[in-house]
Order: sequence, then C-alpha cells, then structure tokens
Amino acid sequence: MEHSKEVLLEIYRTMTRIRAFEEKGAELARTGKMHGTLHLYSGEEAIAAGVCSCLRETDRITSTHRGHGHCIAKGADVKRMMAEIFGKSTGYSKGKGGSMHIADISKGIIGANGIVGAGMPIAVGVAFAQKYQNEDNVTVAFFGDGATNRGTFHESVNLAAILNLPVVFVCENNHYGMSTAFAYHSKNKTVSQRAQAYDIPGVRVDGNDPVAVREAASEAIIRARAGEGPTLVECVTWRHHGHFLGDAGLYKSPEDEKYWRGHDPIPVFEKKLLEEGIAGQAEIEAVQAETNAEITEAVRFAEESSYPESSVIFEDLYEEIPADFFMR
Amino acid sequence: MAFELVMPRFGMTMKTAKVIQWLKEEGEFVEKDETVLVAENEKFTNDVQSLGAGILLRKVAREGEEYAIGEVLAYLGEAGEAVPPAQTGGEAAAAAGAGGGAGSAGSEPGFAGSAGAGLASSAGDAAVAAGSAGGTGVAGSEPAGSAGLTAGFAGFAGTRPGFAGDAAGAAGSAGGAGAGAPIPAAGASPGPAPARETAPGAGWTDAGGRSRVIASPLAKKLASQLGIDISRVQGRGAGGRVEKADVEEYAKTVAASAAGRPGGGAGTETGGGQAGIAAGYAAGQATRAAGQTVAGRGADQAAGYDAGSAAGRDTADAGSASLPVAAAYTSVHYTGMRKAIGGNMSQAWTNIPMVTHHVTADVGELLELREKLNADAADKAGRISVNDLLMKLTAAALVQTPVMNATFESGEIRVYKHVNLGMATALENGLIVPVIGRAEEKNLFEIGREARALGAKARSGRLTYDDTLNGTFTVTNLGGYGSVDYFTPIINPPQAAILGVGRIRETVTPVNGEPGIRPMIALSLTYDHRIIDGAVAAEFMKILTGFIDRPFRALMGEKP
Amino acid sequence: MAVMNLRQAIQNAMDIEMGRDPRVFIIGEDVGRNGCSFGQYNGLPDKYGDRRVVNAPISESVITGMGVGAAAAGLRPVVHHDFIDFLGCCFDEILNQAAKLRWMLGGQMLMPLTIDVFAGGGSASASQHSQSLEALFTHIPGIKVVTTSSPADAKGLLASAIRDDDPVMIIHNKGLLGMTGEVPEGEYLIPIGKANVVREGSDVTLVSYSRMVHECLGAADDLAKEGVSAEVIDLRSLVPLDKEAIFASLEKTGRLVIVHEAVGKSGFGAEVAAVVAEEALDLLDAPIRRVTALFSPVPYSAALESAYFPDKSKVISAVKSLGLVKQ
Repeated sequence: MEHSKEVLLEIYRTMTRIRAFEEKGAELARTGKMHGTLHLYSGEEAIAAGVCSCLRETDRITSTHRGHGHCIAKGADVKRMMAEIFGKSTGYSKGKGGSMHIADISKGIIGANGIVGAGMPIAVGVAFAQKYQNEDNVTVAFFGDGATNRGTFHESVNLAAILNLPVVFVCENNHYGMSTAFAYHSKNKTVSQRAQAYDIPGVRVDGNDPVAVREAASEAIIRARAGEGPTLVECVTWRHHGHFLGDAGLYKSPEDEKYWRGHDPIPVFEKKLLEEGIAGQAEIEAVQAETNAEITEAVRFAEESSYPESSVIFEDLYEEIPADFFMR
Repeated sequence: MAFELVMPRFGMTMKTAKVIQWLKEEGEFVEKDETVLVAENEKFTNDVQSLGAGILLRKVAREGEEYAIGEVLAYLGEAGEAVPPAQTGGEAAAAAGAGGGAGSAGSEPGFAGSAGAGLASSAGDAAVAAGSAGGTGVAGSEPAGSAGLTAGFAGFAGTRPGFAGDAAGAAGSAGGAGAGAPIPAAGASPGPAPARETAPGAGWTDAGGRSRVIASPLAKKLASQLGIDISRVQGRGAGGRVEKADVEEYAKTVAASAAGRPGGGAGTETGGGQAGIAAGYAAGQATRAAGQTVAGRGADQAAGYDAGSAAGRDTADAGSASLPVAAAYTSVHYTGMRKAIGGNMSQAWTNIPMVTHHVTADVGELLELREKLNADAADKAGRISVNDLLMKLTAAALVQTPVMNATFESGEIRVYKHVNLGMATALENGLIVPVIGRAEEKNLFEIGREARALGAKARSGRLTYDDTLNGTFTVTNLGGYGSVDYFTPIINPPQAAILGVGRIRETVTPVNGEPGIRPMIALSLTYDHRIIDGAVAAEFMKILTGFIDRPFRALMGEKP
Repeated sequence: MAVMNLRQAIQNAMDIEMGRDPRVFIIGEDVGRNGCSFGQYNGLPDKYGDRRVVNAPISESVITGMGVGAAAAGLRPVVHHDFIDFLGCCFDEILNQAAKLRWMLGGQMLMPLTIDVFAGGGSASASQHSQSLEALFTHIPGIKVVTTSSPADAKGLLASAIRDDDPVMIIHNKGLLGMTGEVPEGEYLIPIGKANVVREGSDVTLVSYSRMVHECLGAADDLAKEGVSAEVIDLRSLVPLDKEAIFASLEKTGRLVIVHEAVGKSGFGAEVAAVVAEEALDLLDAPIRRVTALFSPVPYSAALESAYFPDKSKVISAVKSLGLVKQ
C-alpha cells in the first residue's frame, strides 16, 4: 500500500493535534480551570489517526468514553470540543454532554458514549442504515479491550456478521479495562482471535504504528465497502494516563510503562518521517507549532464562550416540550 | 377560623417593609385578595392582600413601623373569634382564649351542639388557622399573589416547565402570600405544623389538645370561600369526612336561618357574617357561576359568591334581590406585576411633563456592520442584534450628553457618571426593565451577551428585583414587531428620559442628491421637560443619529 | 370501518406505514416468515422481504441498539420485543442510548425509534412473561410511553409512534391481542399525549389504560345500576400525560380511582395521584384510591392470577370505599 507524503503528514498532524488537546485538557483539569471527568487518549493517537485516514467524510464512526482522539481524527472542530468540555453553550452539545458525549453528526461522528460497549450496537444500526439505503459508506466502531466482555460485543459482531453489514470493529487493546488487566479479563491471548468465533476476519496490529493501523483498517474498510461484511481489527496500544484523569494507574507495572513510553507513537513516527526523508525537522516543528496554536485558540474560544442558559435543559429532549411539563 | 395576615416578600433582597397605611378597619369584612394595607420597601409600595375572606379582627402592625417577612400584621376570621393577645397593650385580655370560644359558641343558638367543639378548638384555633388557613391561600391555583414585582415573578415561575422546585421556593419565600404557584402548602404555611395523632371519630387531636376536622380538600376550599367554620359542618362521608355536599347542605341551613333573622349579619354580630355569607352561597348556587367574586360584607355578602349565569336551582330568599347580572367577560385581577406597572405608568403620566421628539436615522451602515460582525459568529446565541448596537451607541451618546443620563428624585437632579441602561422587556403578562450596569464601559459583545442573558432571565421569570435597580436611562424597542414607527414612550421614573425604537423600513430618501432607497429607523425620545430642555434633547438625538449613521467610527471611540 | 382483532390492527398499521415510508423497517426476534411472533406481522415478510422485516437472533441489546443507530442515521425503525419482561436484557439501550443520545449530542439528529412490546398477564405465563413494566420507562426523560386498549387504538397509536420524531415505546396488552373491534380503514392516527374519555360520568373518575380500561367499563356498568355514575378515562399516553383530561373530569366528579394492571408501588398510578395532589388537590372530595396488582411477581396458577390482578369487582369495591354507595 502506498502512502503519500501528504497522507503521512496529515496523520502526523492529527496525532499531534490529539496529543496537544489531551495534554492541554489534563493541564486545565489539574489546575482546576476545567471541571468534569476526562478519559484521555494520549498514547493511542496512532489508532484514531491511522483508521480515520482511510475514511471519507460520509463514513461514520461510533466512539467511546475515551473519544476525543476519534472525534478529532474524524474532523470534529477542536474549538467546539473544548467548549463542550468547559460546559459552554458553544460546545457540540451546548454544554449538556461534556467529554463523554461529543459528536458531530455532520462529520459522521455518531457520538462518544459513556457506557462501555454501547457504541457497537449503534454502529451496527448505522451500518444497517447505510446498506439499507444502498450507500457505499462504512461504519467504524471503536471500543476498548474491556468492552469485548460485554454482551453487546458478541451480539453486535454476530448480527453484523449474519447480516453482512459494512462495519469495522476496531478494538483498542490498551491492556486494561479500567484497572483490570487484559491478561486477567480475557482467557483469549488476543482479541482478534475472537473473530474466528463469528467466522469473520480478525487481525492484530501494532496500535502505536499509524502506518500499520492504516494498512489493516484500509483492508477492512475495502472489504466492508465491497459488501463483504465486518472485520475485527485489534490494535495493541498503551494509554499514558490512568483510566480517567486522577487515576494514578498504580496497577500498571513499571517495566511495562517504561517499555511503552519508549514506544510513544508520536516521537517514533516523527523519527520515521525524518529518517525516511518524508519530512524535514522544520516541517515537523511547524506542524507542532500549528497544532499547539489551534489548541490554544480552542481554549481561548471555550473560556470566552458563555455558559448555557438553563432553558437548554428542555431542548432536544423531545421535538416539542410536552404540555405536561408545565404546572397547572 | 382565624388566620394571620403576614408581611409578604416583595423582592429578592427584601428583609423588612414599612407599614404605610391601613386600608381596612377592625371589624370590617375583607375579601380574599383584597388589599388590607400598604407597605413600602426600597421605594416600592406594595399592597398587602388577604389570603382569605374574613373580618379584620385585630390590627397588630402600626403605621410607620418596619416588619420582617412573615411577621404577623393582623388577624382575620369570623366575628367574635378569639385571636392571640396583642404583644403590647391591655386590650389583649379581651380576646383571651376561653372567653372567645364561649362567645362564639353561645352566640349562635342554632348550633348549641357545636359548643363543645367550639370550646375545645377555640384556644388553638388561631394557631391552627395560621397553618391551615394560611396554607389554603398558598395552595390556591390562581396567581393572585400579593402586589409587587417579585410576587409577580413567583406567580409565573409556576408556568415554566419543570421548575416546580423554583416555584415552591418562590411560594415559600413569599411568606405564604398566595404566590400563585400551585404547590401544596406544607412548606409554605407560616404557622407551626402541629404533630398529630389520629383520634377516633371525625377529627384529629394533637398533643396540645387542638382538634382538626377531617374534610376533603374540595370541602375545605368551599368552606373557606364561604367563610364557613368547617368544624361546625357535620361530615357524612366515609369515616365522617366532611365533603362538598356537607358544606353545601350546611350553607343552605345557615342561609335559611339567616333569612328568617332580621338584620342577621352585620359584621360585628357573631355568626351573622357567616350566616350572611352562607346565604350568599345558597343564592350563588342558584345562579351558578363563572367566576368572579363580588365584594361585600356582612349581610351584603349575600349577594356575593360566584355571581353568574343561572343554572336553575332554587333561589334562596336572602340576597336574591341584589344578584348581579351575568357578565360575558373574564375577570383578571389587577394585582401583582400588572398593578405595579400601572402604578408606575400613572405616576409618570400624571406627574411628569413629557415631550417626545421623533427622528429617522439611516441604519444602512449599521446593518452592514452587524452583518460583518455576525459573519463569523459561532452560533445564533453569539449574534449581535440591531438593538445591541443601538444600546451601545445610546450609551456612547449619553456619555456625550450627561444631562440626559439623569434621574429626578427627592427634589434634586442627579446626573450620573455611569450609564445604567434599562432594557424594556415584554413578558407574557407584563413588562419589566432589567438594567445593564455601566453600559458605557462595556464593549458591544458584552452588551449583547448581557442583554440576551437578562432577556432570557426575564422571560423565564428568574429576574431578581436587584436586576432592575439603578437604571439611569431606558431603551424600549418595538421595532421587532414590524408594525410601529414612532410612538410616545412613557418615562420610567425617576429617570429623565427614554428612547423608543421603532421599525426599520426601506425608505426613498435623497442619497447624494439622487433619490435612493435606504433602510431607515424610527426613533422617539421622551424626556422630562422639568429638567431637560428641548435643545439638549435635540443635541442628544443629533449625536445619537450621527453615531448611527457612522457606527464604525462611533464604536472605535470617535467623538462627534 | 373494518372489524379486526388487535393483531390484525397492528399488521394493518405496519403495512400502511411501510407502504408509505420506505424508511420504516421492523427488527425483532421471531418476526420472519416462519415465526412472526404473535402473528401480528403475518404476511409482511413476504410483502416487504427480509430487508425490511429483519428477523434477528436472540440478542435484545443489539436489536434495540441497532434501532438507535439506524434511527440516528435516518431510518424509522420499529424494534419489536414479544415480552416487555425481556427489556431487562436491553435496558441500557433504552435507558442510556435511545432516551438520551439526541439530548446528549445537543440535538444534532432526531431519534424516530419505535419500540413495540407486548405486556400483561392473565394467560398463565408466570412471572417472566406477564408483567406490566410501563412505569419503569415513564421514569426516563426522553422517551414517550403509550399503551393500547383496543384494535383501533393499536392502529392509530402505532402509526403515530412510527411517524413521531421522538423515541416512542408502544405497549400492547397480550390479553387484548384477540380482541375485535371496529378499526378505521386507511391511514389512521391517534395523537400521542391525549387521553380518551371512553365513558362519561359525574360521580367518580376511573383513570386507567391498557387492558384495565375494560375492567373499568365493566365496573361502570355495574355501578350505574346502583346509581353511581362513573367516568372512565383511558390515558392512552403515559408520557406525555394528559393532565388536563384528568383535571377536567375531577372538576365534575371530585373522586379519583386509578386502575392499572401493574403493581401499585411506585407504579404509574402513583404519578397520577401525585400530579393531582400537587396541581388539583382542591378538586378532590375524597381520598385517591389505586386498584393495582399485588406487590409480588405474577403468579402462574389461574387461581392465584385472579387474586393477583385487579378486576371489575375490585374497582367497584374501591369506588364503594369512597362512600359513594352505602354498603
């Protein structure tokens, strides 16, 4: 598979944008400038960036509680994302959803989701609609290793398989479902081998290598578009932070932590770009400066935005506010 | 049963209010929602209204003195009923417990059987009434409320979806002032809620020996409307519960006995008032009713209760002669916010010699500017409106003409350093003027944001009294309706002037000597001619229209 | 008007709605050619094919969750579950996804999802196939809950549910599936949010829905013989609730008896009673009574069932306990 310089640099840009967004979020939360729960994606950027580099704007994704990276990679506006996390009226959900419920339907992002494993059935429904309407679009369901033990994983992969739906199941195996290690919560040594149970293809790639991820995702997406049904893609990775910001991650072994930090996808990819002569140091630095500036601007936008009026509480609940909401 | 009249809450920041004037005398009959006295807080005068119908038994409050929210101002009830002794003064003894009870029992010969109950209940009557009768008023679903701006807010708080909690809070904080939120009275009644145990038979008796009648809510409401002491009504419902039919039956009996008693009913004669009212009910039943309550007292009350169209029951003798004619209109109480607005308008109209100047201004550049500003607005909420621009420019023009930014109060003209810009805001049931403080220091976006926030707050009924304070100039905009050019706005006293904004119309007008079509806006400035001369007002309008003509420069701080 | 049973009325509504809107499809267990659930979709698989009548594996979560996704992507899914008891298997998809997704995402899309379920007992199906669980779902902001009490209502409410842009759970009662009645032909819609006064009266208001409407009507017949005039209101829609219909009736009667097949504790009757107490207490001339199932799982034996479920005679007793009829 050929990867043009433009594509690779764009992937790099997406990865640095995600990292800048997440680390800025961590800083703001730690200094009390932002409230609310954050599940940070730092360390897993290569997966979102690699997979979404293969997607069209009309393709759809469902995401997870750790969803900022997916949303950014699929084209969400970091200003509106940041405003949402700040709980401001200019956020994607008018401040009603926060970090775990960011979506941009116009970009095909059907939403992050606060319930582990809940995105998969929804992705199956979206893929069903795509096929039903004779589109050649696909849906990618992102989920973590922890979600593979929910019934929804089994039900969704099975239904997608029997209905031959254009969906790609992308498991981000970061080794922990909250604090519980993959080695404990799964008798299977890999997630991808579970694909055999449904008689669909399953592949396992280095989730810290965006090119490897892109290649695996591309193959799965081509299959899905061609009407050949779902694929299970397992991307092995490591989250730099705890399950949520504030979880110190004491359950991680120092050796593992050291190993994976040494394989941080961004510097590794940067080195590759430089060594293979795809980009020069100046280009790399320019990308970093630009993405940092974007995030600084996003924070400024969020800070300057107003908080929502309490009237938004009853917006979007029903098409009209039902009469019985009013006291006599 | 006797009940208290307490000091209601008139504003969010109010703690006490001064009693200015009693409008009723002891012994006089007071209709539900009728004004009993006038109180003043923070320059607002407010009517204090009765939560129920009854005789004004005792004035507790004195004119000129301050009373805290919830403090008892008066006792109302049936004639001859016992009320707690006054805090000071020797007359208190006259109303002491047993005496009052005995009096009430003895003075109504037809009900000797109830004497025991009367005795038992009389001592505690007032206390219980404070809770239960006061509570009835609050639970009433009509937004009668007490007067004053914020009582009005409490009234419509209940109409917003879901914010029942707010409404409850408002009703509670209004000190049981019948704030109109349809919330049960438990939390809102000012009186103590006595712990109680079930007693065999038809009543409750609490630890203090006070008894309580078991009656349906409907029966209680009806009895309260009729001024009937429900403890005298024999309940024939399950377990001896007093139901609506029992109250009606009782009312008829009393009416019949009153009809046979000459002069039965002067408010001072114990039992007479009740008989009279009940007779009125019987009559009213005959002429079953669409709604309005007619004021009256004593035997005159016979004409009252539910005047309306006849529905064919037997007409009782008493009162039938003076039955009002059926009326094809809906009666809306002139209270609360409506009354406050009315008061302000009348005061301004009567006291201020007002002059209004009219002028059109070219808003072509202003509209262009707005479009540019809004081109990259993130969403609708962040958009700048024509009104935002006009407010900003008005503030700037006021800085150039400080005399216009003034109030006339306490015999002096106060010219202000800062522009506190009032923004007349239409509500479903009235008008309110929230204020943007120090508008001259704020940029256009800040003014826009604040205006939207205040507008939303006003419309959702969450504006506080404090949001309306300290205005120095008001802008009232009818332009959005598209049906008004010029008008003659009335000054919002004690302010010196008000700017009325009409619609924008494409108008043929000379442009560089040729006929051109330009968007023109109609402006109307009303000012207090006692303190502002025509020349000053004209100068102000010249500056303002100059700013409107070239808003870019004005916003950049260019002076005229 | 055509005379049909409730199953046929559902079939008729589905046929019309699928015929007029290609976005409408059915997914559920046992809805294919060979199963067709309780027979309410008979003929539809042949007419519309397995693309639009999707027979699903026994996977309640993904059936419901895919309905959420398909609705978010522009289709108008009808998700069918044979037994409301099974919704425990996909509670997350209803509670956290269908009801909340649009709101949480700031209204970026509609959620025109219909969840069509059967509830109710009386057929010796025991504890896991007989429940009336509507109150669980009326506690969730973001979904509408409607119930049907006749073939005509089943047709009109199902069609309205499908055309509604909000998630609607429509609950039919298994005990009424065979009930026949007149049903308007062609397109027929009953507004969601409006109650139906099925019998007028002046002494007591019987507020009910679903199968219990018929027990109330029977009770009203018997009470009339004793001189008591009972008004019977079929709420039809629980969320939104037609409060005004209840208040208007209480203006006349002053007495309220609420009757539902579900257990009483925290049941929908509690909501009705609370609304009346909060907003219309002064209309009451007597305490509110609820006539409900006993607070236990649904028993199997026919003898136990009759003790367990509310019926006409229990409704009459409740009315009499208000002192309306001298016992």
